[in-house]
Amino acid sequence: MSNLEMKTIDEKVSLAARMPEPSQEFADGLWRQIELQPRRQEAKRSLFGQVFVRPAWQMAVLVLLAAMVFTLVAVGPQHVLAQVQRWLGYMPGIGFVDLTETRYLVAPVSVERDGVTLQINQAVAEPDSTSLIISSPGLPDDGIGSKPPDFDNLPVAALHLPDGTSLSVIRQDLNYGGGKLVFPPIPKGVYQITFVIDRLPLLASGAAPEDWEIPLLLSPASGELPEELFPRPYAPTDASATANGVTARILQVAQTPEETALQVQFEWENPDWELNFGVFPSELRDDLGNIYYPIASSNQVASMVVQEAPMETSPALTSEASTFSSIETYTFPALSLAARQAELRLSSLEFSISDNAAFTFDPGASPQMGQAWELDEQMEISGVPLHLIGARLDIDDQIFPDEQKPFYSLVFTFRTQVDQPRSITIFFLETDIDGYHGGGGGMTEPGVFKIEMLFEQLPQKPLNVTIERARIAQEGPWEMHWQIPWTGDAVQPVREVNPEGVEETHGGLTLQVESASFNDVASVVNLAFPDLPTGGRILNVLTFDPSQVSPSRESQLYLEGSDGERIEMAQSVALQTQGEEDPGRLIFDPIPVDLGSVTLHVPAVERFLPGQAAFEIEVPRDITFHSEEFSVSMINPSGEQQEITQTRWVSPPWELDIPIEVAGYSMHFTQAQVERDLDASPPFRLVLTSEPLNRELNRIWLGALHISSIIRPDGSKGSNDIVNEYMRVYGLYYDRLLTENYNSIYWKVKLIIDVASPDGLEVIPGSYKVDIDGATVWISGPWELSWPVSGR
Amino acid sequence: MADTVLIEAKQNAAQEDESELVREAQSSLSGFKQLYLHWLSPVYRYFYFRTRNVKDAEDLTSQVFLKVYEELPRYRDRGYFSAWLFTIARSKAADFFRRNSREVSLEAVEVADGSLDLLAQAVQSDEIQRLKRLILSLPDEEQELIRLRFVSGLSYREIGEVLHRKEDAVRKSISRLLARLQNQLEKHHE
Repeated sequence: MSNLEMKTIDEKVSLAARMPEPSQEFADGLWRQIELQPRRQEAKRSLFGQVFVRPAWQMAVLVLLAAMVFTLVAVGPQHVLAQVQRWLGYMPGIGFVDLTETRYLVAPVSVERDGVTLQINQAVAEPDSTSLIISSPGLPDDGIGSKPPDFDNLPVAALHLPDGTSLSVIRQDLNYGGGKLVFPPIPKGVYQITFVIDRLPLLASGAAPEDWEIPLLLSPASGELPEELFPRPYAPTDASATANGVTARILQVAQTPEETALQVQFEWENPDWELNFGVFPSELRDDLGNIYYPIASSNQVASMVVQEAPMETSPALTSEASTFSSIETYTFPALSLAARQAELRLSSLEFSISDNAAFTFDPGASPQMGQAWELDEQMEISGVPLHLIGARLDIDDQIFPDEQKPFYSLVFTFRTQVDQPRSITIFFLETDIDGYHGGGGGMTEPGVFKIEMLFEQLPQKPLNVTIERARIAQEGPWEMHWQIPWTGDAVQPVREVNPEGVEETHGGLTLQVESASFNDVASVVNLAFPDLPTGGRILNVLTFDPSQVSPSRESQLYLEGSDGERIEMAQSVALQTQGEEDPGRLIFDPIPVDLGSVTLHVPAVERFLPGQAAFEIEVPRDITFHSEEFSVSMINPSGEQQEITQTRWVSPPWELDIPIEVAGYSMHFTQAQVERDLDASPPFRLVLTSEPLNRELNRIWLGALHISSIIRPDGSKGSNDIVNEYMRVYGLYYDRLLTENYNSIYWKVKLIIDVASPDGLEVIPGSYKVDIDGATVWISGPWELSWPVSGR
Repeated sequence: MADTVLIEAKQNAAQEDESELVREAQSSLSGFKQLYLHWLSPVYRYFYFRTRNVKDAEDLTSQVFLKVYEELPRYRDRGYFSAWLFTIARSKAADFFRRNSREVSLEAVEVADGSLDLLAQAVQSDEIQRLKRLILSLPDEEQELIRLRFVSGLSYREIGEVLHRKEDAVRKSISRLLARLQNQLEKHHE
């Protein structure tokens, strides 16, 4: 008895689940990063609480001073200069301010009436005064029509505060249609004000629309977003939707600076269903085009309550049947302050159901390995048809390849409906026969379940099989809309920047910053690719340079502020787009409000290069398979290189002579082999291997070949959508940590072709015609593009 | 009965220790370092199991701890810091897999065949290799039980908090899962 056999199953699972530890270098590096990370200091609060705590400004000042001292020690005086400037309150376009006291308008706000525009260019609320700079762009200097400027009657302007009081102008410097107006200071904690003016400055009475009123939302110059800017928790009106017998209703919404929480009630009528929360994706959208994806709540764990609700609490359902409900909490990133409408979209929901179905299968007295049965048994689970169409008996050598004794695999093939309001997502098969090891799973391809039952003994008598623990997907969509009840009608505008001439070229590819916009939830950079040759489309701006062995943090895709801060790609926010996704549109986290400029770091770009090639390959009949060991070298977390041996099932190889050239890259395929992996899709793959080739030409790396079509021996069109639809580079195929190959510019290329029959049970022999229409290449940068973002 | 009392007392003591650790972490950087050192490995191992490569495991671990450091002052301790921590980790993992599906042509290559921990296999017995394959063939929700319990070392109660299930239900699920794995291993030996 080995030591292992004395261990309990707990200990064995612990051994099997043993993972490498993080390296000391990583642990130290991350800790240094944490030390430099600013930390929020808000008081604790309840997400759905009614009382919000005001920021503790005095404590914030102490923390700010402590952080300055700490940073000075940590990063040295030169680097910290920009930080100090910001903390002490130098804001480009505004001047020196006390950051803890000043509120300001992030970007101009304008209102147009009858073709005349009034714009608030700047609004700054300081401890001793409040200043507004206004203008009326587009006005002719000599007056409108027959109304010359009126220099005698000054306009009457005021600031209205949320408590109903008003502040009058104490000083003004006016020009035609605009000027600077100074008011008394507005109280602390007030962020929403309304600017009113009876007439545009120096315009004659009746020359333009009068009695202007513009709500303004000021932001703290410190960059924080206090809760006063957000509405209190509220119950939206009529935010509900019903689809296919399931009603979803938003009960309550809480918006905080950190997250938006939605309490949603689901109601359905079938008592045998139980909602599986969080399985299917959801998204929150606003009227500005922002899309928010779910995040983990920062201060509470969502809880599920399943109860039988009395009818009077379920107004959306009119059926007399009992209604079952579940209340869930979804959390998303904070909604933009500028958003006025929101929509929660749920595409589908998943329920666990207790319905069972059963069938009997008789393999006969002497079933043979490889034997297949055609079956025709119709079943139904929760109203969803399930059609048993076949079975196949085999030895499962993939799960226990070292086993001396055969392990029998009975694979049942079921067909079911897809693209219907209700579909089955997963189920399990049970039988009471001794030596049954279980089986179950989800679809292996659309509409098809191949469920493998594993037996220790060869099944030789009728099996009573039950289908249990099924789950169903109930399609929606559920789209719930509501108005955001802001206390004022204030807006938080978007800053648009259109830099000119910001471009850089690497590997013959020019990247140009076409435009950028910045708001409180995201920073969007739109790249253009001028002078792109015909057909050479851009596929992706890459997040790292794949030609590097170990891409460093600095060689990633990110924005860098003029203060040295790194702004990462947005993880839970996207933008609504029309048509195809634009690879040049990059979305990052919001930038600090007082940045002077930003630099975009682009490590590499993936593009498509057109190029034609075609060949035929013959797959022999009666292919046999044997297990084969192969070794790969890899680097473990501590940096040591090790040889690792693995097993795969392959046919005997045969020789080829297929030279091709695509987009300037020449390769010569000299060997073919069919690989079998019954757990994979497709289970049989023809693998063509090339002689080593140099995949780097002038810093442009061959990444993949694109197969445009495969004609199979029977004339049907083959799928070229295998795993990655492209060729695979030898080495990357098994593990990307193959440093020997990675360090070399010479690579073998593997081209993978699906040769499995439609039922996935055997290889289709004969001639395959393959057309290639181009290559994917990686162009290494880095491109570093800088442009100013203040300009307000 | 005495055993039950003892288990509950141990759990309560562990929770009090963790709460103290969290309070210290909320009030000082050195306190946070203790919390960081305590949870770094479990979080990293969790991500390594899911991503099977050092770079992504490091990236995701970094994201989690930077988020925790930023949000911890507002965290209201209810005795389940680990549940909060792993709720964030699960969310980051979900983001990661959703986001990475975009760059299919490059990254699917890594994911497609990276499902076995080759390094660990080389030093482990055949039986453990079989067990590992059995684990990897489990449905994802059962793999998640294994990850949280055996990779990251969470208690049943903590797993229940993470998965929104009762502690007893988690205990039963893991117990049944282990019995099934044990059964499969034993039958393999006979």
